[in-house]
Amino acid sequence: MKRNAFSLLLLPFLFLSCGALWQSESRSPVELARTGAYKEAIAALEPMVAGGNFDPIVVEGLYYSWVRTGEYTKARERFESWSSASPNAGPIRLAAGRINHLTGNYERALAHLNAIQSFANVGIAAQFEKAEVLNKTGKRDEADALYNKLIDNYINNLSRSPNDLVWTARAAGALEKFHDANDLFKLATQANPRNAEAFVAWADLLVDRADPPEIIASYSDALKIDPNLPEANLGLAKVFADTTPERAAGVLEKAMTTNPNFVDGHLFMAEQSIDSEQYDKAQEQIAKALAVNPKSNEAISQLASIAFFRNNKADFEKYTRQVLDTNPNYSELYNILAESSIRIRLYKEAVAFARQALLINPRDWDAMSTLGINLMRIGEEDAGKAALEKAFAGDSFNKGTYNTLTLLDSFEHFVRFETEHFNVKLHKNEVMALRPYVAEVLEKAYSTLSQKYGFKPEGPLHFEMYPDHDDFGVRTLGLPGIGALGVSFGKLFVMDSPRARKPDSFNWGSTLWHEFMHIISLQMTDHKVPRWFSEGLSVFEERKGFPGWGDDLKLDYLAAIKSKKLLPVADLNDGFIRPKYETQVLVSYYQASLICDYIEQKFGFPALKKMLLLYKEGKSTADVFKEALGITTAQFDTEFFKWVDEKVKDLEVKPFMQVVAEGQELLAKGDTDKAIEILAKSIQMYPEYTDEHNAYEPLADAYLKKGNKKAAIDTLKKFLTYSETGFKASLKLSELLVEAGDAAGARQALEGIMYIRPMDLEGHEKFGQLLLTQKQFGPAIREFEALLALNTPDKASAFYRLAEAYFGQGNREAARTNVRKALEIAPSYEPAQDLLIKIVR
Amino acid sequence: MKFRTFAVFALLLIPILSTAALADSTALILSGVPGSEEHEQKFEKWTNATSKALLEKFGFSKDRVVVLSGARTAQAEVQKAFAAVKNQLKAGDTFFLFFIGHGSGDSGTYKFNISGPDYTADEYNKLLSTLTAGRIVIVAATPASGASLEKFAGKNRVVVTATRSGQEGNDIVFYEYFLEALTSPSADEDKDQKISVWEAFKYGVSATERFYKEEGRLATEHPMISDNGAEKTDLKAKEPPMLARSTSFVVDRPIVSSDPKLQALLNQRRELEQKIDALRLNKESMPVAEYDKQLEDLLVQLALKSQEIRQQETPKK
Repeated sequence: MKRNAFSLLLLPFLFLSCGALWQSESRSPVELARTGAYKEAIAALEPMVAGGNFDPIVVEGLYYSWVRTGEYTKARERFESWSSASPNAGPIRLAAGRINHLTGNYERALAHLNAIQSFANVGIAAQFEKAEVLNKTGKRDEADALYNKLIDNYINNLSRSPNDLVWTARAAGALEKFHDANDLFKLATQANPRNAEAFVAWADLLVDRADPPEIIASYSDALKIDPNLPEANLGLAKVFADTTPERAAGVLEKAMTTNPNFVDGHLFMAEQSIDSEQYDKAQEQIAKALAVNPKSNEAISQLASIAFFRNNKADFEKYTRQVLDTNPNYSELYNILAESSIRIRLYKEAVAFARQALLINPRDWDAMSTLGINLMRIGEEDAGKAALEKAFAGDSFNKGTYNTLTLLDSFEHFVRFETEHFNVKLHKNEVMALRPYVAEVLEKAYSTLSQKYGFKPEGPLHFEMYPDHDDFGVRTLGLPGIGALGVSFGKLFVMDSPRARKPDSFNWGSTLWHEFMHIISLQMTDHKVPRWFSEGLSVFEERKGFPGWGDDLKLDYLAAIKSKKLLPVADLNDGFIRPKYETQVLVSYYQASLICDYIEQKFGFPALKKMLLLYKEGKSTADVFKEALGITTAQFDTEFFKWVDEKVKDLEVKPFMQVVAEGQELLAKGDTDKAIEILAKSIQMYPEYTDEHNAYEPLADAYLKKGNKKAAIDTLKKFLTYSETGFKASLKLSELLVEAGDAAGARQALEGIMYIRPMDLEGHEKFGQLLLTQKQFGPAIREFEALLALNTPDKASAFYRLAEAYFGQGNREAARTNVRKALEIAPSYEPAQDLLIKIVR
Repeated sequence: MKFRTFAVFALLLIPILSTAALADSTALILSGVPGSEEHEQKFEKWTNATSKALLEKFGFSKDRVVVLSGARTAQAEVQKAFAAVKNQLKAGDTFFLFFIGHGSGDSGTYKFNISGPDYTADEYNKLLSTLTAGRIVIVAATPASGASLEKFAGKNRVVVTATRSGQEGNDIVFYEYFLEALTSPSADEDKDQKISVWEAFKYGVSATERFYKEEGRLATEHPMISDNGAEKTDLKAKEPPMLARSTSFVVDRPIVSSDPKLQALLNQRRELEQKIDALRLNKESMPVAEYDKQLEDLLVQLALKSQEIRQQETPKK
């Protein structure tokens, strides 16, 4: 990291001797403004200023109170009027400059700011504000000169107050001196811990450069001073949207209630609407922002995004031209287009937009990072790495860049291999155990789903599995902390390996199947499939991939249905992107899959395929439903909700849980017969419940206590048609089925185990044994090789069994080698001795 | 899968009334003060399981398994036990000392919690030095037992500790799996019907590692082994420690037969096993192909010899 002489000259003690304007406690109206009582502050401050009190903190207090309550028009009128009357009143001219800047009157803003550049109390602030206006209107060189001047002033001790320090920090940030900016913000907030704007500006600097807790802390520090500060609440909403989405809505609402005309707030909401593909709604929100600042390049860039997604070339050209006319250096236009594209899974397009941003500004390191990360998502790893290295050289603080480069370094620990249709990457510690299963499931998913949908995805197709969940997060988002198990990008799909999570917490086989179905739905529709439909199809297909795969009716889903929390299909994307309660994302997955079930049932599977093809044509959901199903979305919702309610009408959670508890108590007391009766009844009530304290497992145990193996088998089989993580149940079932002579059934149960705990030694041992007895020598070889790869402590047995399998297959040489290895460990091992004799004689 | 059982041998064993003394084994199990009901149950379970395995599986005589627990672990009792053990042990015997309970060692000095004042590792060493035994195996199944390792290590001693240092003071799970090894066929890596100290250690360590991985927890115990005074090691050891590998929990009674033909076959088999052992020791200094060839030749001979022995053992109708 480079530092210049500037950073060596930080002299914190300079600030302590100066009376910081904000620290005055004696002016009560100013305090009101500073602590978020804006209306009261306005009532007190406006007459003061109107009466000729042009004290900087009084004027600034009034300015911020008006702006934070959305009174832009009033503020501009008043400050323009006072400026005319008192052209030498620096604070008034500064406020006038700021409000004109905010409302897009850049020429007028500059006129005010130019007049006060060297004014004593407001000169520094005016210089910074002017630099921002110049930057916004494409005069980057002039802006940089001003930013540098601010820094020079600081070095030369011409900037004295804590407030001035904030402008200097922001100037350093604008010049990409992020480390210095961070240090300056630290000093500024230490010198004046009551400057809420400083904390907000600091947090803004940290976005994309620090971990969420640090960013949240800084916004929170601002809100401790001023709980109504819209900028701080919005900042939090943006961080929460990525980390804990269900918290975002509350703080956003607070920001918008305080300032209903908040430009940045409207634009954030518009961004979310665009992500949900609710373009009309987004346009309404953008219009509100443009009503305040008709020249807002960010707002117009969002309009360009909508035009692009709607395939409206004319409007797209119009809006991009409009932005670049205002600011020819505004590469952010293409960053916004790229980010919007990423959020609706248009990764190729994101790459193209990032490249365009770099044509305008080759030093746009955010664009370079976006380019690198998205090149990797479309399978161009080398080009992606090159771009990321450039991005890191320009901005070493960008976490996405840093994390992804660190991840790339870790690829040396991965083994790459190919199957017929896939390039696969597995960690070297897992490849020996996972490879045969992963390869099998990949090709099975490919052949099953491509045939079913009549679509062969374009390659090369890449698949990766990560034993470290944070690495998986970085691969997908550029940051650790993702909640998902797997993500698809169109030609690349990645997921957690079983070791990334607690045992039995997920089924890797169904996750792989799910993610591959995304490849189908994304490619079939040129990535235009709406989020809800892609997720719905993936869960729908999971359920058909293997018995027990795919979510069934869990308690949370049942609760959501009962409390009418399912969303209309037109709003279902929001359930994934803007969840309003903690479980809404998972409920939305389930609802989406039920929609697919319902459509298949009522309209036939071809209707689902037709919908995909209509989405490919760019049709809206309303049009797709009309053309494919012959009904409006509202009609669909009515019928669908009725169908769902019918499914659960006899099911109430509380009575069910009481029955299960009763059954378990009876079992504990030893009243097995009664327990069986009660537990069986509870399963009838709610067969899909397989989570903690389910009735199936104790019921199977109860049957075994009574010696009724058949009933135990039937119970466990039924359990496993609903549970995809029932490892212990699968193992138990396999043992019972072997005893009962049902080798095929036992095999299926053991195969199921491999998708839950593929690293479990006992599972491989049992499976291998069974396969040997069934003379399935090829699969048996796979099992014993997996055991050895997993470093089983009983290597002698594993080598011996492997030798048996090879011998059965007719491969004498391999049999000989392996039986020798078994006997090398255990020379007295008689079964291996007998096999050796058979082989050599 | 067929295994020879000790029952078959039992039919053919004849007590040897020779002047050559048989090697025997003695065990002293110290089950310390628990301090809570939960620990009491755990220590009792471990102590009973250890005793049971020694008596029922490994052929220890009842008078050669001494158990002191709870209040009976006071210093005076421990001294008496050592005195009794001393009288039993002969030069070729193996002495097993088990510590099951709480331990401390973060100050560098290992103490095992007994009733009343604790003995340090040095004090136990003094007691151990009074014994005449061919081999001493110490299994310290306590937190912080790693602090005892260097103190207990020595010639003809195998020391197993549940932790690598005195700083690892949390409750342990290692001994649960060490015990499991004593009764699990899959711990018998070399299929010789015996569980060696090394095999039990390996099994216990692997299972402990799996436990923490599956629980998603950081491992707070790292078992170690010291073999014949060598530096402590764990599963990363390049070669299995010789003493630990050759010391089994099974009481070392030689297998003899009254049938001279069978006895000759047993002796020939023993010779082949020794040749295989010697060949394995020389593995690194031989070309791979030559090693494989010689190994296979010997293994085939051994296999044929085993078949002959089985035929000879089978009662004729």
